[in-house]
Amino acid sequence: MTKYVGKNIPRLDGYDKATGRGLYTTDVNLPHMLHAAVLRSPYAHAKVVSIDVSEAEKMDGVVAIATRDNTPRTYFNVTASMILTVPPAKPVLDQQIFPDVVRYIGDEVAAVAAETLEIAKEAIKKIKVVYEELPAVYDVEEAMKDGAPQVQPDFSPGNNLCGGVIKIRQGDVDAAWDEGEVYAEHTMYLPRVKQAQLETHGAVASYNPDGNLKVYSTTQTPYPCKVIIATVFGMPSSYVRVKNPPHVGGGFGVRIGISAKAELIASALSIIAKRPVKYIYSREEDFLASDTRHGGLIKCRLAAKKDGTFVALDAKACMNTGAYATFGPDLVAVLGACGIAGIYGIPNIRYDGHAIYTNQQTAGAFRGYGTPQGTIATEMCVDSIAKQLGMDALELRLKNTTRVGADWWFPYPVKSTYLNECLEQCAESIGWKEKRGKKQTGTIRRGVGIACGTHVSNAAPFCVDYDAAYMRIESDGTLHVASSIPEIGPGVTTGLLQIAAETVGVPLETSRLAYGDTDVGPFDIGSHASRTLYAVGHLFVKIGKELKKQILEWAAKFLYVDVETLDLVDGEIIGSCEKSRLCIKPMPLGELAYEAHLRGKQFLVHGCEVPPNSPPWHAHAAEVEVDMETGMVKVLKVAAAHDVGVAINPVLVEGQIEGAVAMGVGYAIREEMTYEEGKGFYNDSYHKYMLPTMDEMPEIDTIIVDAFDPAGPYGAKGIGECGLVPTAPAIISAVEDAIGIRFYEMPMTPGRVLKKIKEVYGDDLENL
Amino acid sequence: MKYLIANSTAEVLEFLKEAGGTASILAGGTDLILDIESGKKKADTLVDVTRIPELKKIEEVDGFLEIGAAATLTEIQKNPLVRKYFPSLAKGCKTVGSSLIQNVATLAGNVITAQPAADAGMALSVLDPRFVLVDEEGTRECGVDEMYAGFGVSTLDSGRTLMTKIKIPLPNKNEAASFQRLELRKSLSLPMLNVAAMASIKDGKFEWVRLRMAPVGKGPVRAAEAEEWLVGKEVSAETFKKAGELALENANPRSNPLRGSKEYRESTLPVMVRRALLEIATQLNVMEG
Repeated sequence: MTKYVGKNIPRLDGYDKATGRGLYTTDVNLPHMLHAAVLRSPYAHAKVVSIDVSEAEKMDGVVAIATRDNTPRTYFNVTASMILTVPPAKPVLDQQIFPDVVRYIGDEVAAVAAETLEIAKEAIKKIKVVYEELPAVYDVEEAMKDGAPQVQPDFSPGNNLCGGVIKIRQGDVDAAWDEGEVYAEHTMYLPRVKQAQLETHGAVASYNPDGNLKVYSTTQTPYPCKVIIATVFGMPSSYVRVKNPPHVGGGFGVRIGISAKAELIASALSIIAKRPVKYIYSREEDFLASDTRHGGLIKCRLAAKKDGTFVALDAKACMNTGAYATFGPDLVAVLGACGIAGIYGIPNIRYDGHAIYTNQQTAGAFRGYGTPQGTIATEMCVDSIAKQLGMDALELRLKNTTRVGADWWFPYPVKSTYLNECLEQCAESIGWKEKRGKKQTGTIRRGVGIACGTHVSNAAPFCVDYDAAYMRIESDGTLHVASSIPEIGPGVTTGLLQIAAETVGVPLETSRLAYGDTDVGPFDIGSHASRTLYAVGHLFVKIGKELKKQILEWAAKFLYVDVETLDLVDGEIIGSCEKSRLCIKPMPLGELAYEAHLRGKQFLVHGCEVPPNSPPWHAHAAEVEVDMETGMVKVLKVAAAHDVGVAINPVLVEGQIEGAVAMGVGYAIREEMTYEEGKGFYNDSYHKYMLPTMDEMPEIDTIIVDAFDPAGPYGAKGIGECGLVPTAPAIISAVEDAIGIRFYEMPMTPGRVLKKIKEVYGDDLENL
Repeated sequence: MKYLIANSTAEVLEFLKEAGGTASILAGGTDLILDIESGKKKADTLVDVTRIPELKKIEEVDGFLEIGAAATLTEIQKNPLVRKYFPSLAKGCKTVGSSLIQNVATLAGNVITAQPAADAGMALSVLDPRFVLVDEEGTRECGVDEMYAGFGVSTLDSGRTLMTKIKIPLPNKNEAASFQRLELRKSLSLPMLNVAAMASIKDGKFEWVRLRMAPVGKGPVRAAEAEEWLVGKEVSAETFKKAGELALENANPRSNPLRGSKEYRESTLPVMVRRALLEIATQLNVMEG
């Protein structure tokens, strides 16, 4: 029996967050601190000919102005891919703090630090910039044509392909294709969508002339953030400290690495001014000048036998990565691996992934990291095969899903999968048997749909991916754990402490995890890839066991008993009377630790390891209602079934799923960024971006299937991103069930839906 | 900037006069403050009218429902008289912004900011409201069409004139009103379209209909052709359909990158009109909803 693992322990940061005490980057105010504002390009593509800051410099209260002329010209990548790319692959370093050529509307040109934010904002208006406009390209298909304007001629000479073509191969698709008896082939068009995390990007940088730089930051990867800053400014990494304050208002992938350019701009200004500088992105800057999810198109075809057995899957993704690489090449790889190659056992798979440069803002990591896009493409073909065969879409999936021990493309084994249990349980919850395929008439029509998928529990071995941490017992017997991981909202710092306390055998109530600070813990890659609880948990189990062993070995010597006779349970050293010649009384760990302290001994361990990887699995079933006269799609219910292995803290897992389903619903029916040539993206605020609110949320039935993974800590797998992977394809499938129309373009906004309804049903929709 | 809190209508006029036209009246401020911050509007002095007792009243007076100009959208939608006589107005007030906005924003402000798709002002527009205005010259009453000068522009100069209350004639037994909203999001979002209607039905026929729609032009646009045609027509699905088509004659919607293309709005406007008329017929038990 476990004492903490598997229990709904209230999150440890709950009090801080519920009462408003918790500090976020925007709350950090340092003595003599300046405020920054940034001048951004009004052009999609232009050469910066000259920058004249003389008028701005004259303003009272302006302390420092940063441009390309007085800041490092180092090339970098804002994302952690800068330092986690596995050789022989090389990271694409195509960004500079202030480039000579601006490549999208919003690109950084200059920054001002002033006594107040108002002065800084006024000052940037007084900077005179001469631009020379260059031809621009916005659309993926246009950008792939010969002779298209070149977005990054130095990094993709002759074309706009960022980081080369990503290829996944299994079996021989061409040879096997004719073995098929039924074929599906479609192209899916996907929108660009925004993370819209609650806290905008921000940093407070404080440079000390002795060479030390301390940066409060919204990053979701403090350690990589520190390394990137040190590299860009050519500083010793040991002199740079990155700290979350400790709270971060969401991540969703948008700040894996640095937070857009917040840390670099605040640092550049602080180095010039030799005073602390605060730079908080406005909501508009956050929407228009930081990574989004990749839109684009995926061509996908699937061959199957008449009995439904999948034979070959062939896909090509062309994703709009915007003006700079950020995570583009890595992301199209995951799109293919998890979204295309992972879900079903298919002997022949071919995937070509393209990240395409355009003159739009960058696209990068966003919860799911390409997997949602790939899953939508795969599932559109699976539904098409089911329809052609007259086979139940659930049965077809159950027949083809990846199995334990499968011979699959991934370099690690499938040690557990409960995907079929997920499919069956979400189908049961939605009422699949009674509702699917029921003929609908009239104005309001209902339908149900299903989709499934997989993902990862970290990025190893595709990326450099490891964790290091310390654990110690204080002289009063309490456990202190130190790691540089952040807490971006999921409650992972609570879950990890549950694992640590459980493993060492001490009370959770007196244990503490210090986190979110590179001066507190050693290297950690940070929170991304649904990894932190799984990977850091794996490390905590390893070093927690070592710590316990160290304690018991010392205790055995101190008590003159054999170590095998001792155990540490709930903060007490327990002796076994059967095994030992001495029957000792339980001894509080605090007493032992103090005895050790008196003799110059602290129980202390550290560890560093690359985690194993375990694919999590998930299936969602959705029920929708479609208004045939307005094209309005309403999602009534999502049954979300997940194989997360063992849930370390079930209520936190449910929270992750519910939040992700909300994002999946928005992705399917509402959210999209619309580009207006010459103006940029229209969606510069929550008001102009249709995130669902609680009014639009369907009933969500979260189902955590009974599962166990042999590789994960206490049997756990990742969850962070998984909750939105199958949501959108399940909703698309449900809309098709309701009105007989499959959508190959998202989101299914009323305008898009009504247009299709009219194409199929004609203009008279009143008396259907 | 000066911020003055007025305790009476007379005091408001006094403050406005002192500022010589450079002041602005502030009730909820949910639009005004943003407009001042973004530089769209300017004011040297803000005159807060939310603590004038008579401006907060909602009461029945001589065949009218009188709503004080400082009554918030929340107070209006929760008021038993409003709910009894004008449920569609309560519905319109409930769809402006979000609960937080409704807690401070006013119906009067929703009219004076003159945004074409303002839900509360739209729901109100078909109820034959009279706006009571006070300035140095004295007191006068205005109808809906006299209030809107353009997109986001009111005829009322809130540096000189105070709206004190909105008077709405109480409905007869055979009269009812409705409000329909086509929306991407229930809260924190302008509608793609909204339609308000009020009608009198006698012996299964429309005696008269007031029908307005937005955002298809300046303020709440009258579907004049449909209104005129509907008089004397039988209450039926066919009638609603024809009225919906006729409504297009007076509508000139624009495309919005988010809230629907012109084409989409033109496709769905007749549907909203039909649904608005059906809602009235249902309320009056002439048809089943």
